[in-house]
Parts: sequence; structure tokens; C-alpha cells
Amino acid sequence: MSPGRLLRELGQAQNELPEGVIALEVVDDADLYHWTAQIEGPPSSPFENTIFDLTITVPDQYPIKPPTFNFKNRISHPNIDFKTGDICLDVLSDKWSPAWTLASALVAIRQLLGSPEPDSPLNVDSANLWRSGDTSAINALTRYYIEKYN
Amino acid sequence: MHSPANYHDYTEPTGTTDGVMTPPQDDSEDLQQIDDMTVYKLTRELQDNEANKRSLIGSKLPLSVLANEYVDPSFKNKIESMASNGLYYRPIRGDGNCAWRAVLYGLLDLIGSNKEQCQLMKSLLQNYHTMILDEAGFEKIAYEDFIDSFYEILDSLIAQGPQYIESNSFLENTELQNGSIVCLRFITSAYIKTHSDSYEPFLEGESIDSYCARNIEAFSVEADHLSLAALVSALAVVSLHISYIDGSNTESETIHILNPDYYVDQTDFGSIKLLYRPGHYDLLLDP
Repeated sequence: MSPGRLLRELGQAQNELPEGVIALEVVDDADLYHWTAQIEGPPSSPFENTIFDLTITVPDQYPIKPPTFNFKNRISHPNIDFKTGDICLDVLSDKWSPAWTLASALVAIRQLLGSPEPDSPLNVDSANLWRSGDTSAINALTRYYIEKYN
Repeated sequence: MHSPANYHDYTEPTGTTDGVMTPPQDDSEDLQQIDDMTVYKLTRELQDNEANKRSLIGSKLPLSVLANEYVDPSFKNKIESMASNGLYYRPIRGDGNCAWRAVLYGLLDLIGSNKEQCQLMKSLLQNYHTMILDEAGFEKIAYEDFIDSFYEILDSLIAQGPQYIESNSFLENTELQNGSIVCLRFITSAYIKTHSDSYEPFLEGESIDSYCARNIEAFSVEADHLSLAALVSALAVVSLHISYIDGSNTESETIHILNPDYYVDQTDFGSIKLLYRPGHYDLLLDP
């Protein structure tokens, strides 16, 4: 695809960002295919009041093919790989639509933080904990890792 | 799905018991580690590699050529009976976009020799179809490139006449064709989203948004019957005439005609003919 789309997304990101997305920018002005972003943990979730850093790798065929998002720091969440920060989210793989933008995908990732899907886990331990429904344990463990790594 | 690419650290089986190979322990662990994402990516790669060997839109051939590819009489007889009516076909690349690509080419073929109709299509895209996209909540930033691809094709068609869609600058232009296919996919999705009452009952409980993202907006996902019905209504300028060929005992093809819910501004460019064989669509053309 032409870089026009990414340039326009960059322009839009400099003007306004969706709620909960704190930053969205290219790493290097000369390279539209590597971005960084910051999102705010959603309220009323163990992730609230915390800012999370992500890296974004955009493939040549974007937006026909989805970008890859990774959390930079370790995070305990059923759908996020503890070691690599890979995110398992359907809209970033088999339900990806070229109608999504980097900004709207970040909104979906932020929603995933607050509403995990423990049935398709990348982090089995965290998924088991969420499935148990033990809110105070979930909160304690999540906050422990946020304090430790963020 | 069984690809050697999965076994990046595969080790040769170490032991045999009565001549039966025992797989090493870490092989089964490897298999468990292949998550859905990896399977999805590998499947896509395999499909892409296969498909890239064929033309996006092949040359116009008599249907008898296709009939000769078949031994199975249930297929062969039906295609031969269609061939006897003097029909031609254009093979379309089987990359999951075949129905969409066939409709794109079929539409351009219908209007290509009439500059006024090309202009009309352009202004409908600009006004009518863009309005549906906006109404369905598509972001302009996400759709404008794809509308532009379609405009660019229509502009060249107006400037160069029907030979443009026979030229390699169109036939081999992956970016323009694929951009226009995404445009068709978006307006189809938008039409479904803005007419959800008509489509929801057919989705077996899946939400409209999920269905549209998974089956329509996602590139390289084959069109099902519902998508084509919605595409026709979204375009609102053509009907689709689909000849189904399968392994049944009937002598001739089964024909389905899809008409739009309405023709916008009474604009009817005619009928696009598709040939369906299980899993694949090609374009049918009059002599």
C-alpha cells in the first residue's frame, strides 16, 4: 500500500487521540512502519491508573494485513504473553479488518485489558486466576507485576 | 495444517519400538505450542504462495476449455451444455477474493465502453456509496484510499476506453485491483450494518460487526451467498447471475439470480454473470 494512509494516521494522531490512548507516534520520522504508543489502563480494572507502553510493527501490506502490537513491559493478563508481550486478540488476527486504524486497534487493546478472554489464553496462569473469579487475588497479582516491571 | 515450518526445532525421532517410530517428547510439546495465531498465519502464507502463481484475471477463454479439464461427467456435462450456448469465461485467481474480483471486472466490463456510465459510477461512489460508509460508521481515514483506487480505475477507463481493462497496466495491477476489492467489501459491510434487520436473522447468533469483520471486510476471505446478495444491494446498479456447477446428477447448471433491493437513481448497468464451482468463482462472459 501507499504510505498515504500511514501519513494520514500520523497526522490524525498528532491532532487527536481516542480516549485512553495517551500517545501514538513513529519511532523515527523517516520510518512509518515502526511506532510506539501509550495507553491508560481502563478504569475499574486492576490496570487502572497505569500507563502501558507498546511497540507497533506495521507490515508492508497494511492495512490489508494487521499491524503487530507488543507490550513493552511484562504484564500479567490472560491474553498477553508474559515474556514477549504478544497480544492474542481476534481483531488483530482473523477478525482484522482494513477498516481498523492503529488508533482504533489501541482502543480494542485497552478494552481487552479490562475484559480478558481467559478461554483463549497466552498466559495460562493468569487465565486460571481470572477464571477462578477471585478478584482480590487477580488485583494483587496484577498490581504486583505492574509495580515490578512497569 | 501440517507444515515443516512448524518444526523449527524438530529433532529426529530417537527410538523405535517394533519398527514403529516413537516421536520425541518435545515434538508433541511443539504441537501444543502452536497457537491459533500461528496456524492462521501459516495457512494464509500457504494460500498466498499457491495463489500467486496464477494471473489475477486470466484471458477470456471458451467454456469448452474448462469442460476439457474435467473427467467427472457430472461437472463436464454441465459445463459442456453451457459452452454450447457460446459462453466464455475468465479464470479468476483463487486467493479468497475471486468472487469480489470477478464482480469488479464484470462491472468494469459492463460499463467500460460507455463513458457516461463510467462517470455515473464514479459519482455514485462519491456520493451514494460514501454516504452508506459514513452512515455505517466507517472512518474516512480508513476508507478513502480504497475509494481512490476505484476512482483511479474508472478514470483510466474513461480516458482509455474498454481496452484499459484488457491492458497489463490494469490486469496485473495488484494494488489498484485489491484496493477496489476492499472498497467493494467495505460498502457491502456498510450496507449490511445499515440494514441489519434484514441480515441479522441469517447470522445464526453472530453479531453483525463480527460477521462483517470476519467474512466481508477481511481481505482474502471468500464471499458466501449472503455477502454476494449484500454486495448487489450495496452496489445498487447491477444484478448477479450465478451459474452453480457441482457433482449432482442434474444435466444442467443451477442458476441463482441476485437482484438489488433497489436500483439507485434507476441506474441498471445490467447483469454480471459468475460461474461457481464448489469453493471458487470465475467470471462468465457473452461471446
